[in-house]
Amino acid sequence: MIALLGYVVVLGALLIAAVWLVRRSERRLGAGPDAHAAPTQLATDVTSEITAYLDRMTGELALPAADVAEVRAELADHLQDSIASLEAEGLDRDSAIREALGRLGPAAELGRQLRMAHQSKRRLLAGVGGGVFAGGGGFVLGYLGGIMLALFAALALALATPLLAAVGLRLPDITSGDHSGNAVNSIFLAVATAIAAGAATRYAVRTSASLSRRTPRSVSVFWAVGGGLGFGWWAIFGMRGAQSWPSVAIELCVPLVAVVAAFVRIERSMPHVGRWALFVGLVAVVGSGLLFAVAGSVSSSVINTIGEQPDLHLDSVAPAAPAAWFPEDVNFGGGWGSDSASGGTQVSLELNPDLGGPAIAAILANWREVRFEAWHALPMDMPGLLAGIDTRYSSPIEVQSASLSDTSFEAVFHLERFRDSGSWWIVLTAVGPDGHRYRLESGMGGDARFNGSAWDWLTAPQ
Amino acid sequence: MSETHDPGMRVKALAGERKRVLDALRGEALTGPAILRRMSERSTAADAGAAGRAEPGDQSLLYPALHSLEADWRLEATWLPEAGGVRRRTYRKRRLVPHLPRGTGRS
Repeated sequence: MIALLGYVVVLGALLIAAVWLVRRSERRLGAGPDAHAAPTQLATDVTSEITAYLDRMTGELALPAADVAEVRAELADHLQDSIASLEAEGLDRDSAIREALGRLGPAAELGRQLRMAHQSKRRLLAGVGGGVFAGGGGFVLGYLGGIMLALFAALALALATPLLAAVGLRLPDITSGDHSGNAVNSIFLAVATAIAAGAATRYAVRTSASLSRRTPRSVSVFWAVGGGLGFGWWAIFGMRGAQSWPSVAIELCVPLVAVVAAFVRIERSMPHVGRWALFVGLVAVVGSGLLFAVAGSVSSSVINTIGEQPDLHLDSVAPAAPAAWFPEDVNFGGGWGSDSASGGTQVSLELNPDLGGPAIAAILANWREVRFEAWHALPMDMPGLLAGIDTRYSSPIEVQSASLSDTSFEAVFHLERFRDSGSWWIVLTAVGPDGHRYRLESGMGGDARFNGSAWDWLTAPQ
Repeated sequence: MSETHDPGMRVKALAGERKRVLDALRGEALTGPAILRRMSERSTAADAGAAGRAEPGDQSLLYPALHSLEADWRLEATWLPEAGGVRRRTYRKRRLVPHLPRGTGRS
């Protein structure tokens, strides 16, 4: 609980700091100088000659808008002062203007010098660091916004579906056969990630441009490459969890989203994110999370009503081992669990040790090529259904050799790496003295969900 | 006007201008024209021929020097109001300890 509180506090502090940094940057990138710092009254009697000079000079600046406005205002002020001094020395107005402009040197050269003065290495480093930091904050903010957007979209879809059905339009059911909610969860996650990647890249571009005193357009290519590669790698290879075809399609678009976010209308200001927007976003996400947690616990309590079928259709896998070679009083004990090292499913069946070593050795001498076979089973995550082998399938999902350790047969399955393994049943089989394969143990059943990256999904066996 | 196209000479001239700006700015906040006047007062006939010295009347390096010093955190610039309501950009040397507002200093 304390760790969770600490996590929320750190996340909140990061968000507030990032939003503050972005707001500050937005003021610099805005249309004019900061209202608190800008000159409130600029020279009004600036001649066309001076205006043309200032235009040529600012044309070379390539700085954020606020800096351009400040430099222009400062030089206009300087020229006014200079012209007044020269007139006081006895020069006429036109000569004074020419002399004042001449003393500042060629406009284009002055603009280049000022640009180099502003775009120092120190500011470039600040821009890179600030961009990364703002990008992190933008990612969190985008993620929260993405979850909210996905929630609203799901709500709108839930409301629209019956209305569309009433007028004869049926939407494709992407959750068909998805009793565990994998598809919906993975789509939520993918949408949130895509929006987060876009927001992070945009925040990084604009903040780094402001801090390094460059135009957003001039730095966007670096962040497009960085964001595209970084977020693309994360979305396609790094982000592990439930997957579905729609979610994989969205995740494959994440690099493109980052690139587009770095370029398209990058000169436009970021939408204003106020304190209330942050507060409402956090409350909505935490509230919906709690709602889902409660709904999940209710639904899981419903699921636990699976009955046992007298015939598990195990003969469709292999016939039971003849009593002559495998006495009926020989029992296995054991079960399955998660393999902490690989994340797979570890199965273990132990022969009754009371039989004694010589008896066990005599029984096992009849058998060779002992293996575990994982078969598709009838769905176990729906209430009222009975367990057993799904006879629509003619071959197992996965086969693993059973390694004998003392009196136990063991194997590790990776059913979470299959796209549609769903419910499974694992049976222990072996080849008898007559050369036919028989069933030594009825085995055990469970439910597997795909767990991996988008790339794992694309390359996974069916 | 020091219109040189040699980057090395340009860098040297800018470094000289930065040094003169820092010398001209003591503790007070000054505008660009005021700094220029202070620099003119301080310049002597001996300085005029020194290496890296801009030609007399040349102001082309003043603002690049001021802005680069600001970018390097040597100077801080603020827009301060003057008589008539016009705000002017003023520069002062940056200190490690921030400037205290008037009236809050120790007696």
